[in-house]
Amino acid sequence: MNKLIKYILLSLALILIGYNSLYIKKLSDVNKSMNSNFDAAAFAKKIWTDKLPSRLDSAIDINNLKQLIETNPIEAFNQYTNALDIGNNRYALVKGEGIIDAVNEDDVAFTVKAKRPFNAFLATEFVYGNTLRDATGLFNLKDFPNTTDLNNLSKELNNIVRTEVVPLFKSKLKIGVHIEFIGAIELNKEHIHFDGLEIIPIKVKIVP
Amino acid sequence: MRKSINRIILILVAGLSFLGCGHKAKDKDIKKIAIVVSTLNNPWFVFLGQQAAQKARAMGYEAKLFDSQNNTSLESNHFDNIIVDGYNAILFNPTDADGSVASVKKAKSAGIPVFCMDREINSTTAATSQILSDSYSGAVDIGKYFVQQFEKKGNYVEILGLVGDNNTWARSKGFHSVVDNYPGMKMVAQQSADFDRNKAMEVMESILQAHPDIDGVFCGNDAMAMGAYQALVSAGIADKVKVFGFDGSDDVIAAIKAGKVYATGMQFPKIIAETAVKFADLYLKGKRDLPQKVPVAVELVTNKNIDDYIGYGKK
Repeated sequence: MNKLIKYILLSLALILIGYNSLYIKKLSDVNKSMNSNFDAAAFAKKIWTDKLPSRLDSAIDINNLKQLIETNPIEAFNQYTNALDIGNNRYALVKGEGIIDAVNEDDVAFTVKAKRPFNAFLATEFVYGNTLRDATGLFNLKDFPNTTDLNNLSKELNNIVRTEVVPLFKSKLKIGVHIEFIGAIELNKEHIHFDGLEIIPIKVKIVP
Repeated sequence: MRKSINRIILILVAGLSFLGCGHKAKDKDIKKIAIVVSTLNNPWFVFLGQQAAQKARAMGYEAKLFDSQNNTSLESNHFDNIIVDGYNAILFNPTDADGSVASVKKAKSAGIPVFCMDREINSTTAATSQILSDSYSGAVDIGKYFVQQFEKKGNYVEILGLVGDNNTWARSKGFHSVVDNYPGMKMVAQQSADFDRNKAMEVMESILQAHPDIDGVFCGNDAMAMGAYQALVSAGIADKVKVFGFDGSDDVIAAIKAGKVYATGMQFPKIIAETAVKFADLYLKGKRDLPQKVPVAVELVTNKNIDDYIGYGKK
């Protein structure tokens, strides 16, 4: 009898220990539990209306930037580009003019007006990544101890481009149309390629 | 004669003892850095650890590498030994974002600064600084390229890394922040393979039994991408399914060149390791205002720009 009670108690203890040492969670729940309370959409909207316009005035002419990179890359990258990450990727606000070559489902291909014209495209569908956030130079890592907030900020700034900026110009563009643009670009310091450059559009104006 | 030999031996022994004392005094002057790595069963972490040790030694420190074997208990034991052995700083690649916090706090209480490398811990007050790959942004780039390659339509599988590691979720979230915007992209299975090549092969084999008709696989690291690729080869569909990895390891860079793997996110373990050593050096020399988190950019590598890269971003 004593033995039976002993075994029952032992089994109960083992079940209790086992139950408390094993936790089963759905992968989706683990993912959700890491979300932050930062309202990135509201913050991005405020930056877009309050801070970005004055920054756009400092956008460098894309041809000047290209020329400066060719002659003095260190000064060019130090003075005209920004990045929150350590590494080769640098981001800049640029302006310029161009002639439309094609209006595609996901982008607009055009030729940048310059002494040596080159191909570029305005991203209209695949507007992702940190290009816009970092190019503005408006953000400091120390203000964002939570990495998720910074990532969400990029996402929301890109959403504004996709939902508010692109509809303002895309339907009006046709082959041969002359445009003025202000946008954000990514350049890799180690592998610089201007031909085929992707530009995240911030302002696009049709020149009559 | 015998007496004089004994005397000579005695003098020599005494002399050697003094020399030994001198060495000990010199050894005490050399500061020690411990490098604790989550696992040395993955070549990426081996490279990270070796780079950190190499840089620390080059800067005049004594450096020792500890392998946690993806086990937080073993990791905790390493920290205990490191504290007892009087190390001056710890360069730490954690095993678990939550489970490793206690070890870092233990070191902090003992007055030893901890610098996290590549993997994050879920605390912004325990480690002195965290130098981390920007996994989310790297995965955003992969997600964008992934959708473009499938022209917004296809069935795919996601193989996750360690569930307790923040990089696993940063990569998954970054990837989905793009891919989920396209209803034509359907994830037919999502499973963890713990960043392990063999487990990824087994996971992929079992997924293929239920979903033989897939177009792409996104893996949370390159080791798993190679494992998934092996399973696809065994199933005879490797030429039909596009595999995407994350890391920029030697074998995946070679596989992209050979057309076996489609793309990867190039991390820069050398930059991460060297920055961690520099920060430790600055701290030990008195600097205290180091940033809590320092992201290191990840670059997308595809067959279009493969010639710009070699394994682990060494170029």
